[in-house]
Amino acid sequence: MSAATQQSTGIKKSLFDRGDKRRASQEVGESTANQAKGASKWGVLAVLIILTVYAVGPLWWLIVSVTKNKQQLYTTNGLWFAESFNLFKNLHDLFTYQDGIYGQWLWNTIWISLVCSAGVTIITVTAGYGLAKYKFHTRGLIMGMIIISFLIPGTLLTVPSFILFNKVGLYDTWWVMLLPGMFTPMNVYLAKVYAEGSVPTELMEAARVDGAGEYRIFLQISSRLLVTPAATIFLLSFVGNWNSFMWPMIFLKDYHKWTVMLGLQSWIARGTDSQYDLTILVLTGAFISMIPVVLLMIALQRYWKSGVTVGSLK
Amino acid sequence: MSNAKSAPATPQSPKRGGHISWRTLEALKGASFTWPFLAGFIFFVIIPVAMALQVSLYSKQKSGLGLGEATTKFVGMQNFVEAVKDVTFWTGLGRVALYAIIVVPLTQLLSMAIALLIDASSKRMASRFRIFLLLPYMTPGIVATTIWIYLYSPSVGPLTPFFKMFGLNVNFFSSGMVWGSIGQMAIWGGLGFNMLIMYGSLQAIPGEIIEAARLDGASELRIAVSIKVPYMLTSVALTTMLNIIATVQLFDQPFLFRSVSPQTITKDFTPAMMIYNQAFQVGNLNYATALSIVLAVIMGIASAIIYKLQNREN
Amino acid sequence: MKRSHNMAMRVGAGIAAVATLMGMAACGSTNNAGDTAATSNGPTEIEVWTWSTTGQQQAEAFNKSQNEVKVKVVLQASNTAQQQNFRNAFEAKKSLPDLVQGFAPLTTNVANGWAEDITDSIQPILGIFSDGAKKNAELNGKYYGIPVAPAGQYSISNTDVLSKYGVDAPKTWDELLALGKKSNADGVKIFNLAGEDPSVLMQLAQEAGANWFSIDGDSWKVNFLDEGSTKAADIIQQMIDGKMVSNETWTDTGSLYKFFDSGNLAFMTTQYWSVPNFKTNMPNTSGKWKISAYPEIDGTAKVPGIVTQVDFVPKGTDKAHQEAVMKWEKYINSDEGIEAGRDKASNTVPLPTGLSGDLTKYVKANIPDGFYSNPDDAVDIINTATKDVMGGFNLGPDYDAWFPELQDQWGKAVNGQITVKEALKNTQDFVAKDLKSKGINYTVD
Repeated sequence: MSAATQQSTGIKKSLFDRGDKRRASQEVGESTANQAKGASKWGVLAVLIILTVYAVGPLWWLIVSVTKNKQQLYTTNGLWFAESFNLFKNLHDLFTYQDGIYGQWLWNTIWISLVCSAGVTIITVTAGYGLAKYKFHTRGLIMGMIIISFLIPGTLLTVPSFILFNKVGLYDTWWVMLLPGMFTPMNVYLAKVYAEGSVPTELMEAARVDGAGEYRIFLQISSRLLVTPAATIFLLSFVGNWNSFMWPMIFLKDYHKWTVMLGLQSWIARGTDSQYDLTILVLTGAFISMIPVVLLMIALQRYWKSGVTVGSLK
Repeated sequence: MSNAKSAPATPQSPKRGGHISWRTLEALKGASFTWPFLAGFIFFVIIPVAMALQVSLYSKQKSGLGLGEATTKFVGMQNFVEAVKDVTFWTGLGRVALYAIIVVPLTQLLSMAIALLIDASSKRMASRFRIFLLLPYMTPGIVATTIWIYLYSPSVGPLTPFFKMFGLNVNFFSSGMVWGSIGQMAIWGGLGFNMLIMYGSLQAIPGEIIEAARLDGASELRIAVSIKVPYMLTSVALTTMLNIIATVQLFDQPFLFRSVSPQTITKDFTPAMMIYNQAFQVGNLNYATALSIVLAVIMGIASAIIYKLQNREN
Repeated sequence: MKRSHNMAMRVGAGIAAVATLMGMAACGSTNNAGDTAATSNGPTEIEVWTWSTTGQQQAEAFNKSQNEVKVKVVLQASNTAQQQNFRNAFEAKKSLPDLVQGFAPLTTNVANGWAEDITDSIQPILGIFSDGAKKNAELNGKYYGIPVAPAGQYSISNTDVLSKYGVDAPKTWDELLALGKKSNADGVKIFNLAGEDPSVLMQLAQEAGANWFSIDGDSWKVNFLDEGSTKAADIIQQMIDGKMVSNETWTDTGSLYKFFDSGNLAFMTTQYWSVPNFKTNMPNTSGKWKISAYPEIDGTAKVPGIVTQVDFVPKGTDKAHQEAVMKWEKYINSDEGIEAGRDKASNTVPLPTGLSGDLTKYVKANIPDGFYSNPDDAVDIINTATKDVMGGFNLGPDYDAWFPELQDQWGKAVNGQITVKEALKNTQDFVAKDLKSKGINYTVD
């Protein structure tokens, strides 16, 4: 082993050691450098509480509403519970209406969102990493196309996409829900920005000196430094998938394949157009549908805690 | 270890001028990280866009009672010439531009503040607040809409009496307030997304720098402004751009407010509403496409200018 | 009365369809591969698009009852979804159904090249539809859609208000205005005009004999300012000027029902399918609404109804599939087919408004207990409204373009920024401009 190799191994080691230590310290609730100290801590807390009330307050209406029945929804105070408690009845109705299709929609949405988000995370994080850390001559062109693509209004693409997907046999298949969503330019841009900030070029050079190939560097070193952006992209894309209804509406024919949001949209549309208002079912369905997203958010917490210190290399 | 082959035996002295240089190979491998993305991007974005662009160069004409087949003819740039002269379109654009000038900076400042506040609180606190602050972003659009209509409602909502307590007579649905009401909804729904992206970039700040600043006696505010904010700028630039694009494409909220304030919000109120109306109501997809392209170009120019400005400050 | 944007109208029109047909509506078919008639042995398969959830049940029952036609129902998420999906499939010339539940007016369907001429294939079943319904599916002597009639409009008046001012339920618009002049002092409104919904104006104009679009040889005659329209505009203008109206919107549902139920609204026009929701959301005034016929203008009793959604067979559907569609239509409009479409959740069947037979039993089934103060009269009034509803109000070749403009103008008129007449004039100017840009011949009177 050359001296350079030893040196780079040393850097790598210390880097990960530091990360591990930090992670360990956070788990026992110790503070990290970023957090405020002293009196300003209370100021921070107070402001955060006010903002949280602003963010969550409006959802109180939803919580109250799902405990009401149809009669009470518009005829009682929207911010307080009605006399009778109907949450369980609403849940029962939700899971039995239209032969219990809601459960099917929920399951579709869960697995589609998981698979699609996993795919988009892998594809866009690698692409963003490639764009951030390597200089090749089509790079500028790709970045340009990515940025321009932000500007394209989605409605412009539905007709051509429909024609295209029909030609290649994607229409009304599960693939149409999974594939197109895996190539989101916004996430590539995001991954590139994060990769620039969190993967030190010095570290890659050192690994090269060690004899590691580019793919190995990515798998063994860089990918670990990209966990936070990957988690962010995963979450953003999960929420995006979760709330999408235009796409399944246009490209899926069979309503058994629909997603929760499309199903709820259809209930609300049908409710306003016909004799029987389904608003309560829609609210209950929306309320239930938020639970998996919150659970996912909690599950991803640890990836935000483990921010890795990279500054020592600069 | 197949990579070992590709790595030169003596990495310190990469072959220059060989038949294939070490750096070229590295660049090629780097570029290959983007290939999976590129393949999908070309198929799912570029091809449909190209198909759509073609549409803008044609025009449809009917004859007689208009009940027969329309004839499609190539008109070159005629749709664009009309778009450039279309007063309704530019008036709408002026409206959203004015709105964007107020709402985008507000959203951004608030999101930055939240990201910094979360970053400055203890990790345990941060994880709790983060979930709550993300809830609006996770709230499905149909539910958010239903909630705000209720909260804003002059006759049954709680906000009107609340402001009355302070002697303010606010009607959220009145002509004068409509923009404020729309903007507030947009800010509420957008906070979480912006905060998440900005917060991610804060994770890359080396703890040592902050500790050093603290040892030098810098206040928390000072640390936030002079150390943390510069680290956020790239992600702020990105979210600003996305915000501008979303604002110019403003559709859902004004569409909704059309019912509550019909004398103010006309069918062509925003450029996106006008494009929708042209495409799906008037049935002039050719012209609608041309309008979308003009809109995209303008947004492109605006984003480029803002991006440049932000980078200069940097 | 109606729901948001153009629903009200749809109500009249389309909803009827919906309701009527609830499951029935769409149909369709086939054809992913352009297959079609090929099946000389075995049943003809047709694909029907609908957003009614009961269509599926009807299809199952129908498929079981015979073996000539096999119906596959594709459930659409909503009316808007169906419209968008149909446009896409039409552009792609792929995956088109054989029958589509209506989402646009008849002339629009024809002008856009969507609807097939089904004059021949519909002949065998024409008899099941009422004359009004037939008029709504016919253009220039040819059938381009399945006959449909809107749910007939009628009136309901708050009995507390009536007795306070010592009047009977208004029989004419003049009587309503007279009531408004008295009640206005106490803040009691006589009508609700939602700013997004000009259907009140359209219906009143139709009742007064207006004819906005008519065909004159190779050219459209456009007239939004004829005698009938002017009369209708005057009546509404008097209500607005006299501050006799409220402006609750269907979007702010809580506020709307709170006002309807407050005792401060004397009167509204409505149709049968709105009433279950009234009953649910208006507990204080339920039982205090007196049903009466739609107010008269000029002493003749008429029931306006404008159809904005007509079911149609997409262009290019071959004869064999058209005939299969007709067999399906015949089934879903039979007692057996209607029963097969009973909604499980609410245990109701819709009122099949466009049929020629006796509908009394369906009318009875659709009258909720305890809402009307005179439930015995309700059967007759709704029955008459259903039978007598007018048909054939042509909406021209570019309804989708001008309706949003009329909404804009109506919003301004309701808010007093312009007069109702000016709103009509501006809409007419818009129509002229739009037709010109499309190359369609027209004259404005």
